[in-house]
This record gives sequence, C-alpha cells and structure tokens, in this order.
Amino acid sequence: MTCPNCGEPVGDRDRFCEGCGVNLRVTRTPTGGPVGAAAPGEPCVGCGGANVGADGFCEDCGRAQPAGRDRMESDLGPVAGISDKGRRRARNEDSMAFGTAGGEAPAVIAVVCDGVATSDRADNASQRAVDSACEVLLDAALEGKDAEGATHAAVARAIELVADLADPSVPGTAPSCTFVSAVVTPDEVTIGWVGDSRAYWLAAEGARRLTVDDTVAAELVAEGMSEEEAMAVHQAHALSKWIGADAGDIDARTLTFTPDGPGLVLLCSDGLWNYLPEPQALVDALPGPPAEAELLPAASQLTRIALELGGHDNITTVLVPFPPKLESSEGQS
Amino acid sequence: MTGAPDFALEIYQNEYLSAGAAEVNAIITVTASGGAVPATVAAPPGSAAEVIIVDTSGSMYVPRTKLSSAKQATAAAIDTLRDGVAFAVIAGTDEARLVYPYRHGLEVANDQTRAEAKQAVAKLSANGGTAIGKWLRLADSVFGTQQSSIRHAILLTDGQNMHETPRQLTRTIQDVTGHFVCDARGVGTDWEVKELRQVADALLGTVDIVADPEGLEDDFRAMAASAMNKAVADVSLRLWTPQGATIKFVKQVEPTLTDLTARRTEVPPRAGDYPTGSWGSETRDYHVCVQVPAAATGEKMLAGRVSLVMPGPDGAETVVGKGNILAVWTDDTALSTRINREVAHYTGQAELADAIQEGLEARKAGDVETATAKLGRAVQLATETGHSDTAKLLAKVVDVEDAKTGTVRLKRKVAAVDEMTLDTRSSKTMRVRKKTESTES
Repeated sequence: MTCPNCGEPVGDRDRFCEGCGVNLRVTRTPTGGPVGAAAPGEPCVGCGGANVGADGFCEDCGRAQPAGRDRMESDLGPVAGISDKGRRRARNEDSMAFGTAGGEAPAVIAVVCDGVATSDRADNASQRAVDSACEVLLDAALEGKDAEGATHAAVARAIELVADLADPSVPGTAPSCTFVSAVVTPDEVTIGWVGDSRAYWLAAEGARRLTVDDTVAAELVAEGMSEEEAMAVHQAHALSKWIGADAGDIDARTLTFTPDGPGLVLLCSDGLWNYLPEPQALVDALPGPPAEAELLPAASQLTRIALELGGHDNITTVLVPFPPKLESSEGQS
Repeated sequence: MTGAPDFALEIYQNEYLSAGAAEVNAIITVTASGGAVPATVAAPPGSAAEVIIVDTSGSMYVPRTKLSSAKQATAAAIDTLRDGVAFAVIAGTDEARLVYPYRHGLEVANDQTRAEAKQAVAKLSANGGTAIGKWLRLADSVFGTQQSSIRHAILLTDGQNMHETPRQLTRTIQDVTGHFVCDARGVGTDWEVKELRQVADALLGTVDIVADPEGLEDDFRAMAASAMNKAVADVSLRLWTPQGATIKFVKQVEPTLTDLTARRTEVPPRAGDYPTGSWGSETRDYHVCVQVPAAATGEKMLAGRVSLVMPGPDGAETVVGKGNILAVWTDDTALSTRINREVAHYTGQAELADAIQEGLEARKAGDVETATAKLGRAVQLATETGHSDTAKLLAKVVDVEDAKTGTVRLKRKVAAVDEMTLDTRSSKTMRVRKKTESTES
C-alpha cells in the first residue's frame, strides 16, 4: 500500500503518512479545487479533431478546451461533482469541495459555494469557503463530533477566511459567497446552508427540496406573503444572508434527517436549479433511478441540461448517495 | 549568432467579443534587448555590410551646397562604420557607379580604408540623370559578393526617377526585396515621396525628407549608427491562425507605419511569416487584425499565435517568444464594448496617416472637395490624439477654422517642402503612452 498523496509506502494500520503527513483515513478534493487541463487525448470540443496542444488550445480550430476552474470534475467514489463555468459568465465563481472520512464513524462530506458575482474576487471567496469548511467537517467526522455542530463550526471558519479577503479601503466589494453542505453517514444526513445554493433529496419516492433560500422573496413568503407577490418585490432574488466581511452576524440553518430508503443528496448552485427547480424534474433528468445512479455521469447529465437551457450562470452539481458507499467496513469486518 | 538580442512579446487586446462578432484586433509589442554591441568593438568578419548610395545627378549642383553636403554626410557615415564592417559607396545617376572600393565588391572598414573611401567621395562631381532602380541593382550585386548577416543601405536622392519607367523600378524593388534593408532620404523638394516610400516600405527601411542639405550629416551619421547597432537580421513575425480564419492585416505601427499583409510567406500548416528586417535593442509595435468564425457565447478560442523567428545556420531557425491572441464571446456588454487603448491608439494613427496621404493626393489631383474633407479629418484626429507635431505640419497646408470638428480650408499657396514633410512624416507614429502616465479616469 502507498500513500495516495505522495506515493511513499505506508502500513495498513497507519493513520498518517510518514512521508508527507497526510491523513490516510481521509480522501478529499485538492485545496484550490480539482482544477486541471482537459484529459490528454480527448477530442477537441470545437472541431472534434485530435490535435489539442499542450496549452489547451486546438491546433486546428483554435478553440480553448475547458480547463482550470472553467470545468472542474472530481469523482471520489462515494461522492462526485462537476462545476462548470456555463455559457454566459466570463469565469467560474462557484466552488466545490468534498471528501470521505474513514474510521469508526465513517462519513461523506460535501460543500458547494457560489461566489457573489457583484463582489470582488468571488471565485477566490468561494474556493476558500469550500476548502476550509470541508476541512472542518472532515476533522469533526474523524473525531466523531456531532454533524450539526460541525456544520456551524464550518460556516464560522468559512466566514472568517472569506472576511480576510476583504479590502476595507473599497467598501461594497467585499468578496462573498453562498454556502451549502452535506454530511452523510450510514445513519443520517445533515444539511447546512447560507444563501440560495440548494440541497435536494432525490429518490424514487419522496423527492424534495431540503433547503429554504435566504432571499428577500423567500423571507417574505415565510412571513405569509404569496409567492407571486413576493417575486414581484424589488430585488426579490437578492440574498438576505451570505458569507463575507459585510454579511453581518449570521449563522447557517441546519437540517438533519434519516431517509426512508436509498437515494441521492444533491448539492447545487442556482446555475442548475434555476432551470430545474422542481425535485421531480431533477429526478426525471437523471439517467436512471436515483438509487442506482452512477455519480459522475449523472452530474454530467444535469450539467448538460442546464447548459442546453442557456447556461446563464455557473453550474455546480455534487451528488452523494445515501446510504454512503464507504469501503471502511473492510477493516472492521 | 553571438550577441543576438533577447526578444519579448506582449499582446494588448480586448479579447471579449459580443455574440456574433468575428473581428479580433491585437497590438503586439516586440522588445529586443541585450543585443547592442559597443561602437568601439570590432565587428566579426561577415557580420555586417553597409552600402551608401549618393545621388550625383546634375541637379545635385542646384544649389551647389547639395552635393557638398551629401559628400560631407557620406564621409560622416563612413566614419561611423565600426572596424570590420564590409562597406561600399555607390554614385547614382542614370547609371550606377561603384565609387569605393575600386574593384567590384565590399571593403572591410579600418582607418586606412575609411580614409581611402572618403578621398574617393570627395572627388565626386555631379552630372547626368536619375535611375534609382539601377542604383539598387548595383547595391544588390555588391552585397552579393560576400555573406553578411546584416545588410543595410542608405539611399540619398534629390530628384524623381526620370531615367527609367516606374515599372522598371517596381521590378527592381521586387527583385532585391529581402536581400537588404534600405533607408531612403530625399533632399530638397524635387523628389517624389511616393517613389521613396515604395523603396523604403519594400526594403523595410524608413523614408524622410531632409529639406536643408545641411541637415544631411547628422541624419546620415544617425542612420549608420543605428545600422551598426543591429544585432540580428532577417527576423520574421510568425502568425498562426485557426481553421477558417482570415487575416485582414498585419501592420508595423510603431515606430513607423508599414503594411506587411502582402509580405506573407506561408509556413504550413496554418502559419505565415512576415519580414521585420534587422533588430538592435529596440521596441516595435505591430497591429494584427484577424477575422475568425464566430462561436457561441461563453466559448473561448485562440484567434492567433504570434512568435518571432530568427534564421540560424544551415537553414535552421530559432523561434523566440510566443503570444496568444484570444477571442472570448460574451453577452456582458460591459466586457465586449471595452476598447483596448493600444488598439484604439494605433487604429487612430493609421487613420490619421491615411487621411493625410489621401488628402494630399486629392489636393495634387485638384479634387478640392476630397482634399478638404480628408485633411479636415486629419486635423481633427491629430488634435484629438495629441499629435501636436502633425497638427503643426497640417496647419501649413490648410487654414484651420475649427480643429474639433475638422473644419478647414485648403491654403491657396503651399510651400513644397511643407507638403512633402507632412507626407513623409505621416507614417511616423507615436508610441502609446504607458498606463502609469495616463490621466484617463
């Protein structure tokens, strides 16, 4: 057995790699995001030719191949996700991070943040938020801590790091983002959120939205206004809560539930749910029954649908099956 | 080659295009550095050759100072040649005659040969007509007697090309293009701007007017010194463009305007080389305009890739520097309508030069309406873009009523020297100001 991070040999029972110090019970997306050029040998997205240069441009038609933050894909087995720039935005300001923690209390962790486009360096904000939150959630899982408490701690840590990015000399441009997280254990699912990135439960029976948007319109509806009236309000879609230096004193909302049967937890940014807001529409869009879905192809299909419907915003889709497909049982049984 | 400069490439452009737009503009700044050799250091054998061509037609005696100034200027240029440089002097009339060395070929510069050459030049007298093509042909033949990597000629004339047809001159220019670089100078006001511009453009040199013969010495010395500073010759700008793209133009836009579009040599697949001549430590700007097939919003493509190519021994070549010209389609009008200041700057300069040249042409042809419109536009552009030197030259040709709107009247009487100065200097450009000096908000 070798360390997945540095390749040094490690023992079966080692918790940490002697070479690089990485926690061997944790696998996660790399800090900074699963960025990288398109896989070598892939045909050109523009002309279909096989002449893509090392710098990511087609040597025939000149088309840039998706690379870096424009299209991030990662599949860790028990969790997979895709974050795509979409068709209209100049850059991808969404970020995603996810990982698995082995040991006595195995868990799958996922976080999606959507950088607020009107703020400065929104991509930087969302990436910092997902990376720091993912780390807090994984550490908590390893230590067997309560998932709701860990979620609040993760949001607090994200707020701290994102607020650090703000330039106090330029008010009104503080980098900011939304937040949605999932902690999936063999027993239950814990969701936490700030802003309008959403979590859905996708299953053959009882598919539903798990989050309530922190937007002006959603708050008015919660206070009794009709949906129609609320949507007509000035800045109905504006966020009422977000993560950033200018966010004020906020905390995440959390929800913990135990699904009735197998299914998928979906975390997504509004680049997906603007086109497919209804839970059943999302289930129908999947290549097969949610419980049997292959994660990366399913995420890819949802992303493609959003792109085909216009791709007006960045699209991020992360899928985690419940019960989690963790292989940690092999050491125990 | 030792002492070859380092080349750096920078691209200035707004890569964002609105949906359906297909024209991509970019300014490429090429900076060569570190190649300069101190003037006191001898040139290695075979590295550089210089040919000075002096007009000795009969008109060079009118006034008499013209020939004596030309001789002095030639002597000054000879003194500027570094030891080891191969050189020759040609006297041009309706024939071409090698003044120095005494046999067909080039001589290596040293104290003795420089003195001999100056003696030979001092004995020159003026007589006969003007056939610039023959002068260039002799220069080409003299350059051809030995291998030199940097070949530069200075051509001085005071008259029109009377003793051969325009077609003969064009033919000769075609034949010698690429063999050497030539800076052309017209002294007095009896020469034709168009003719010398044709020579200089094809041979990648400069053209200028030296109205007063006394100004020749400094000008010749400067040209020879600049030629001595060149460290690498025959550098090409290589442009790759994607499938389905059309190159609208490739122009040098600084220090002077030269259209290189038609000078392309194909380098398959999908690339072409444009000649840029010899380089010392210097910076030049190029404007590339490419039409690409429009893609969907959100798509990004490489609209062009620019590099520089230096010839190496045995036909090998060295590719240095690389810059990408991009196209990104967006619905965000805040991005797509942003105007790149470098592109705007040089687009304005090119328009200014065209307006002046077309205006003067129309004026000569007696088309008052076109001349007034074009020169009025030139006044407006020169004022808007802060070309105060050009504005001053224009004011000698037209009476300006309102510079802002470009309302002008043609002057009834214009001195030939003013008109020719305006014409020759119209292709000189001003470098775009660095961002830090900009006062734009």
